[in-house]
Amino acid sequence: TSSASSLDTSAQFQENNGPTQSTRWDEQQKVFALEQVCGVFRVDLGQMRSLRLFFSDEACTCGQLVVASRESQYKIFHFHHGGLDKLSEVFQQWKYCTETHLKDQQLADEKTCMQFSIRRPKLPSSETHPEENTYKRLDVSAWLHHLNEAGQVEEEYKLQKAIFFGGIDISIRGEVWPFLLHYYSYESTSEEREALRLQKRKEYFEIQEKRLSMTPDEQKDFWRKVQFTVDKDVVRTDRSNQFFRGENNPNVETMRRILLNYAVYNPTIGYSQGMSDLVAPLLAEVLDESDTFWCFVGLMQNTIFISSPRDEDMEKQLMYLRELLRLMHPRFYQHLSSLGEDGLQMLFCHRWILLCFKREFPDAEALRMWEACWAHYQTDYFHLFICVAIVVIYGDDVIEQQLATDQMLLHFGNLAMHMNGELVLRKARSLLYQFHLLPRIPCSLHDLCKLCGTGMWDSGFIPAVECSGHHPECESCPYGGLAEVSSPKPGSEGKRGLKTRDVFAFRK
Amino acid sequence: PDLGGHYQFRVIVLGDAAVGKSSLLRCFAEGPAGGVATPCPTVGVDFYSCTIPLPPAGRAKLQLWDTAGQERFRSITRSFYRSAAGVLLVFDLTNRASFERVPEWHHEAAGDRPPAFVLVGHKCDLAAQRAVSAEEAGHLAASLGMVAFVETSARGNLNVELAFQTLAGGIQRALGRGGVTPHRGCGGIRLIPSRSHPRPPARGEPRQRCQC
Repeated sequence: TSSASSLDTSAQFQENNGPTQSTRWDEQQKVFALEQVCGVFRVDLGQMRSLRLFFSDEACTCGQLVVASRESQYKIFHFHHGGLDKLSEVFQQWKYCTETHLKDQQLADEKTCMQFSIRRPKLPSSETHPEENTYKRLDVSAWLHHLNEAGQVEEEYKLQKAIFFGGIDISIRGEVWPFLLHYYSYESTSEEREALRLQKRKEYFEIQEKRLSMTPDEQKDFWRKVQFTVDKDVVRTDRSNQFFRGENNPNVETMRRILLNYAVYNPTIGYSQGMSDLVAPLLAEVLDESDTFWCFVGLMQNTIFISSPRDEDMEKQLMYLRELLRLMHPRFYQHLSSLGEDGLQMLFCHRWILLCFKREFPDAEALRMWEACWAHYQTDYFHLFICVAIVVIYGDDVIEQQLATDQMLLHFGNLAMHMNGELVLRKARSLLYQFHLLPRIPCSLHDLCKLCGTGMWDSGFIPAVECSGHHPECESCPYGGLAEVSSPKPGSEGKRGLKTRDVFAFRK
Repeated sequence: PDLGGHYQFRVIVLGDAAVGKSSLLRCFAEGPAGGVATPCPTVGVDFYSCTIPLPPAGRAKLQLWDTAGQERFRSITRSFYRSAAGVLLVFDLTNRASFERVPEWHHEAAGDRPPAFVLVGHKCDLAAQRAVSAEEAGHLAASLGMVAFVETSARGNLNVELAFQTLAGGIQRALGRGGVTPHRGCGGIRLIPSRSHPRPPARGEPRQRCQC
């Protein structure tokens, strides 16, 4: 029975279990009795969709065992003190696990049995950014190293790179975030920043004054459009966070003022649900009300809330994400396409993009992702690479089970707060690296490397842009993408476009 | 009545921000404890799935879509409203403005082939702050051709199941009248053949089931 060749695995399943069934039955009765006494659990493998092990430590002993039912309900067992490695050995020795592992080509009906996979926290080296692990978390001494005597950031690119790979130590987040959020410029001296803070504080309180001196009519309108929802939302945002915990917590009131003042400062946007989720962590780290407000202003400029009142920006993000998936995870893209318009809307990741993964990962990990995105290292769209990473790591079930739109929502919704954020981040960095190595990129993804300043193609190599068609407004590709007859993009040294799809394959 | 399978209905919960849509859904899908804690504001779409009995003899699986109340990114979710078999249109009994917006929401979701609507007056446990009478809400529901008006409370677990049951009943009657038909593939109403439902122990396909 060593030939593990697919189709009749489940038949073997039966054969092998048949003769032992009666003895098993007795054992089962004992197990049930034991359950009563010590709360032992059991899982009906016949009802199981997948069994996955996610290791969280480098040694691969701790982590999570995730059992998924066919209804996308998850049972998650946390192994905080080791032992998961032993379990993994047992599973791996159990041949039905290994035999059902990775059989993509089976028919849909037969996929209902089990899927077994193991995820290690270390990606194989071929899937890891070569500069991974070369940066430690940015702590006070490292931070001071980046500043000159006047308190200016000497080389912002180096700082951004360090933050992108290593993150910022909690103790100095409040100090460094204002730079990342464009409240302080990197060239500013400590003195200039103090002056700026004073001036901005004055400005902030003028905005607040404006809010407090509205006419009764204006006030009524403001209450209806903004204040009503803000009041409802601030009391239900991050209340489990120590900083906002408890009745009548003054920090909740501060958050409320910041949001109301922001709506006065930027009336076109006003208040959109989700903004409270973004401002809360800022306040908890930056602490000062006015400073937090101005950081929030900077943050909003980098989110898609700013595109109010239309959805264009969201559509654009989704378009980029679709294109990235098509390029980097074609199997998943195919699945989405097979669902038609419904699938391609990717409803499951709207919240990921809107709140930058805040509801998908515990704070510690989500804020690492925020910092990695804010670093704008090589791209302004790192969050989309994180989306792709999540799909690559946690989307196997979706493809294998051919999950429909709502099942996909349920699948990813249930994974919220149960994913390994460090693993996702590492995968996302490696995806960016792979993107960076592409010999050509479709013109639809041209913007992904447009605004990022120096660094995206720092080796001097610039990929050719290939026109992927569909420019209904123009006759030729507006990005200078190469099609059948075209001119090379400036700087691409006249490489002519190959027309085949496989030019997108990653370079080995 | 179809003995060979069960129906699956896509149901959308709509209404102004902070009227209690998520609490209502959680109370229903996760039991009374789910309706007590105040959930974070919904961003994007949340999804729940729940099977309920559908008299006389069947059951229905409800695919429940929880939406964000605020008018953002609506054009993306709008196409999903259109394919819904039923809509729970929720307002807050203590917030008159949320009641006054009901016709707008109704218009938004009705489209050319209106799904079944149930109007839900939520937070009925806050009797002292009530701003809309049952009579008034009942009239509105009738004038908009809705199946019914139900008053609910997630905190007190009052009528929550009734609201969903009523809606499922309404969808079933619409099916009976031939006003709507089940679709394979496209969301709103589906007839799921019984063999794909994993619950019954004796199924026709032993290969799918572990025998140990």
